[in-house]
Amino acid sequence: MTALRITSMSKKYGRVEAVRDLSLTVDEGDLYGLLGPNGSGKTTTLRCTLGLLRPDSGSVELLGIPAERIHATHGRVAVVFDRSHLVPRLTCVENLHYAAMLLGHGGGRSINDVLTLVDLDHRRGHKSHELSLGQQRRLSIARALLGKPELLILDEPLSGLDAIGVASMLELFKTLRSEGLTTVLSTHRLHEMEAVISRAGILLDGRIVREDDRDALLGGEKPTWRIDIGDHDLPRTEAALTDILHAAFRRGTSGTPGIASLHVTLPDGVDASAAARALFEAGVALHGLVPERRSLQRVFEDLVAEHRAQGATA
Amino acid sequence: MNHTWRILRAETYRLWRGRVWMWGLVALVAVSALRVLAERAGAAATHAAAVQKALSAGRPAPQVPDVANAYGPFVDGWLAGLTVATLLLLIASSRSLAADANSGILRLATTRSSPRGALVTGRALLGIPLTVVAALISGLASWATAELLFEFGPIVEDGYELMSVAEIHGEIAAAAMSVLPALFAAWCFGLFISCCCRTGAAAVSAGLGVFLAFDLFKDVLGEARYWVFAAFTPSFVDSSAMAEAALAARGFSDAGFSAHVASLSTVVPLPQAALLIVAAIVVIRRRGL
Repeated sequence: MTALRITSMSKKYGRVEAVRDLSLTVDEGDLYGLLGPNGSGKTTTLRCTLGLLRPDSGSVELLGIPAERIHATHGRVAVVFDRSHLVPRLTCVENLHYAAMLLGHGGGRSINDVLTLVDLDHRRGHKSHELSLGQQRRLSIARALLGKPELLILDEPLSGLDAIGVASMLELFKTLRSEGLTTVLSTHRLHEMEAVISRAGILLDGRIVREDDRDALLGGEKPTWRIDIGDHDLPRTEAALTDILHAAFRRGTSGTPGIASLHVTLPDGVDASAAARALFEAGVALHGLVPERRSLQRVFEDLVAEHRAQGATA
Repeated sequence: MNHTWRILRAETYRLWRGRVWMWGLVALVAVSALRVLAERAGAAATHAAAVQKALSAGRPAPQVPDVANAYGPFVDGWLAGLTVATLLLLIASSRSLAADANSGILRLATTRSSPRGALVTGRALLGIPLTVVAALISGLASWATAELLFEFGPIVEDGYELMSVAEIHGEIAAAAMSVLPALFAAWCFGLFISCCCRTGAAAVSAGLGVFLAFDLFKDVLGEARYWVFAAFTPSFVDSSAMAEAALAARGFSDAGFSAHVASLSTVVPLPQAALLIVAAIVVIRRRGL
């Protein structure tokens, strides 16, 4: 079942087109990353998605309900915004209690459950303005998890978090996904998100320029391998790669004295073990044969470069 | 109605736990009590001046006058408290939705379960208990101080009872009852302004600005001012029923609204409050959050 469906949505601020003919779908159980640099239209997309802004055209459905009637989802959609939006004079527990009263119906996770889940039990009596930025963010996530949300939407959930905070947040996302919660998050922190998302849409200048499953995004092209060898074996290795394996390669730097590195794209029908065997038979002493996966960051940078090049041509 | 009730409960909880109401309470009590105290201090100062004048003229000092009737100072104190209550209610309601929209708290409510209209109606209903409590608190503070410093009793002049205690009570109660709907309308006016502004500070400035501007220039409108709810709220340039009650409690026989104005005071504020609520709902449904 589709948890979120955006169809041909556009939104302008004056003359500026923040979102252009954007369509995407998020299936139940997905952890969908809406990725893009600052100013690419992520927040506008989310605000339109949540019925906080009216799009100029197109439609948005959350759990089958139009975005402008989001209240009719009766708390099944939960949101964490880029700022924490906590009530400053209230304690952690009071903030959650206030949110629970707005939510209006019981069942699902209780205040104690969510405080434990985000590891804020020990700060329950502290006023929200006394919390660190990371703790405030965790409290806002705790607030979103109250009740029984089926779709969780987060805008820049990692902003302001330190390394430990990021790690615990990613762990929390994995836990929530394993519990079947559909999650949509917008972020420009690609490196951290790579490990948790199941699907992503890359947003540039208000348009989705690529949308795919994570594995397809990262491994859609032929994988490359890094071959580490002794300096003295370099000519022999290059000859073997060209003459025996017919593989494309480029030289790299290993960072270790006496060791040379080559980045190799193996041709169809040649796997890593066959390549290792061929090199061994050619008399090359391998120090390492390491798969090189494209990072999400790299995919993103390539797309941005391509997009800009197209823009320049146009 | 369920959504409205939920917002009302949540906002009451937030108000109670936020503890800002305590400062409002202190302000109301202090202003009401100080106004009564000022009356007593004024009487004492007048007597002291008379004593000094007599002694410097070589005449014997006049006797300490009898303690004045408490009803006049009591209504004055209550009126001062209600004036502050009007301003506090206006500030609180003007700030309410605008500040919450700006800080994002409204997003929380709308995205989880509340239609936008309920954000307005829930908060509008919160104005009813706040209005009543503010009026009661300032009235009680004023009564207690007047009880300490003056004596309650019928208005007597030259041995003739101009007004019995029951009649005074009737005048004051009627005035208080006609002020309450106007106070509630002021709350709703603040909510409407709040829906139109981007920040809490802008909304408070706009709310107070419009309200005080009307207060200053309402005399220009003549009798037509009574078609606006704000003419019936206690204010600095007062034309409310409480101001008339303060005169009546001092024995002025010509005090009180004319029959026409008295009927307007019951007819105008509540429908205007309802109109302001509807207008606020229309605005908040259209604005981005």
